[in-house]
Amino acid sequence: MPESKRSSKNLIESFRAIAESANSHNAIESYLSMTPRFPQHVFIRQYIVYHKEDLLESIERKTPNFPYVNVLQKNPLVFEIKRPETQTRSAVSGVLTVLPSSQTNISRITTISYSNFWNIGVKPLIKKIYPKGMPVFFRQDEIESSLYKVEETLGSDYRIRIADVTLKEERSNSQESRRKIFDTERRWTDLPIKDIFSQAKERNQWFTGLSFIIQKKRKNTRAYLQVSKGRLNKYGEVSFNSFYNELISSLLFTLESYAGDRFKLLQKRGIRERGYDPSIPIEISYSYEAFSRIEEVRRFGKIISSYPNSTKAVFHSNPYYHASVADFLDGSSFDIWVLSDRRIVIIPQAKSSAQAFERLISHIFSNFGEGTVNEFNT
Amino acid sequence: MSSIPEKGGIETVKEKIEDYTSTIHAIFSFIILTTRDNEGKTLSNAKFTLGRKMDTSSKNKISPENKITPDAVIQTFPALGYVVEAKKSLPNNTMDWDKYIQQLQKYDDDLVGWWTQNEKLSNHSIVLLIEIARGVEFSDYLNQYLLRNNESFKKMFSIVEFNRADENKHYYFLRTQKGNINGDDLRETLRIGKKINRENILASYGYRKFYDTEPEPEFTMQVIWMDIFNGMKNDYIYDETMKAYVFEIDLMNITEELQKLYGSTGMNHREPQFPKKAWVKRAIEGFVCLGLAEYKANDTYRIFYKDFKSDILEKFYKHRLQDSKLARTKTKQLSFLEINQEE
Repeated sequence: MPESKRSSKNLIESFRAIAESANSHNAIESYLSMTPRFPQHVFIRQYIVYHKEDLLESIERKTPNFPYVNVLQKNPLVFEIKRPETQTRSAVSGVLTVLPSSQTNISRITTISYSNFWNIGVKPLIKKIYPKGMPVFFRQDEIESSLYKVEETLGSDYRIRIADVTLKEERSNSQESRRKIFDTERRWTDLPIKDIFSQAKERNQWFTGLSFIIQKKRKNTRAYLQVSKGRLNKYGEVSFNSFYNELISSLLFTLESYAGDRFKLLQKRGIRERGYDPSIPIEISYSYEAFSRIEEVRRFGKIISSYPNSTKAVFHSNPYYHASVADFLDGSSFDIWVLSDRRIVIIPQAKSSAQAFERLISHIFSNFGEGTVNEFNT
Repeated sequence: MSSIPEKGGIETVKEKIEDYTSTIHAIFSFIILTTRDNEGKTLSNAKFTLGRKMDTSSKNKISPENKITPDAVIQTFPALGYVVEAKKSLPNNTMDWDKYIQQLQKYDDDLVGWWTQNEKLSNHSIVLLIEIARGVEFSDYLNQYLLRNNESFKKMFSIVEFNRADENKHYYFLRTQKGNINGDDLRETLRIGKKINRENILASYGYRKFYDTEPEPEFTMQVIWMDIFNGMKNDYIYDETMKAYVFEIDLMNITEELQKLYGSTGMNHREPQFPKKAWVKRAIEGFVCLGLAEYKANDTYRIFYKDFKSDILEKFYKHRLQDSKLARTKTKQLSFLEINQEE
């Protein structure tokens, strides 16, 4: 076995040993903060998840459908995922722990692993814990400002370069009357944060994920050395190979506080949980005239019609939009209205949980465009 | 409310649902206009309800010493009130309009039920909110009716037209078509015409799905299915044999829940109750037609809840087709029996 592979295996195994024997979150976090830079392809991988109830319960409730999940200890919560080999994929196994975040009701599901364990073992489970848990959505401008926060925290000897971006872009020749077609493309760059994000704004592109590199200035030269590498995915996924403390206190802290604020806003909106005293609606507002053309209202209608795991009733789609959407995984429902050029109004119904709101908003952001979520403002 | 198939199919039903929602929003646009100041703040003394049971006097020309329920009753100051009736659409046959006029005449009385100590108010206006397309026509008909019958309104009466203006922002435009209304500022505002932003109506009253008139059954079915059953089904295990979540409901419980969520509970003796049990029953019977429910006993039903991915209104519209098939079969059977009996 090559040296690098052996050391990766050792790291993964030592994480498992620490997690299994840890008597607190702090013990695991202190281990993570002291780990050296990981060998290639091995990362600290985290899912930032909003959950109102105990995540352990949510995971245990799902274990009958996921026989490959085994809870190793409950405090701190540590569980193992072991999937056997099949005809189409290799066997994967690994250990995860749930670490608290800087925000109430938001946790970091954390592991040290290769990407195949993450993709085959972890992602399917996280998808299944909805509605008890919901990965938070990172908006493009939130990612931008949190990356600036990392640069600011590290100081002038460091800089961040964007190594690659996965873009979602509207195909220019897609016909207006038909559903717009999006291309996904991964582009490699070596540009500062500002350049990448300004280009994206100019070209109306949005990222689904990006990789960043932290570089340190070499003394007495103009050259920079790579000291850490990380990746962010808009659907709550973060990974990096070193600088645990620095990235937790800047990148994660900033992203989680955005998500925390949004969840606070979206909480307690259902009419029933408010003792039948309806709340003010939620709005998604855009800085541009998102609905100035009727084609955009229609496109929005199609996006809502394609909202997965939901029942829809479309009352009106031209020139304004009005539909009801029921999330049948969660039991929540919403009325959605588009009555002006720059705003979507979402009216909470009998039950409208924060996680169902987040899932709906993530769908709108991913497929129509990212706006600002607020309480309706006249 | 009819459950026979519509000529234009589901599209006609959707238009009628839209008319229903528009009527609620038109009423609320008038409520916003009368109960808020120029900065949008609610007047401290303002009271209103969507529907209110009022008592008529012995002198009432149409319905003496009886209870009436206008679509909205508004009281802005201790001595100033409005009784509002709203009509988004009217029957094509003008002969049927007489009953609407008589309904307005019922309000031309010293009504009891206001928010005052003795529940009386010295001064109220009667307002008919009507969609702009029928405003002039109805106004002309009303003039002829009053002339023909040598009648007039004792209270201030006005026809206020409303129109949904679909510009870059969607508004309700309100303007007096005929008559007079209490309140100098309001009179002038309505003479010129006033736009009320529909988003602002939603912000304050978007949760109000029902008023004191029955909507199309598909609408009630949709609300029950998506907002009530969708939440309830999570308490039950999916039945693999039935391919559905199976649970029982009580008609009265569902009705009361809908009233609390989106209508009026009738907690106060002046408040009407809506949606009414009969509307909910019609909706649940729609589910029975579609094989999504079955009647058990004593107003309880067994529901077979399924997660539908396609447009649910279209799915629920099919209950009318089933209904009419059953009706045709019953008619045929009856005719057959009658023929046999005659023979």
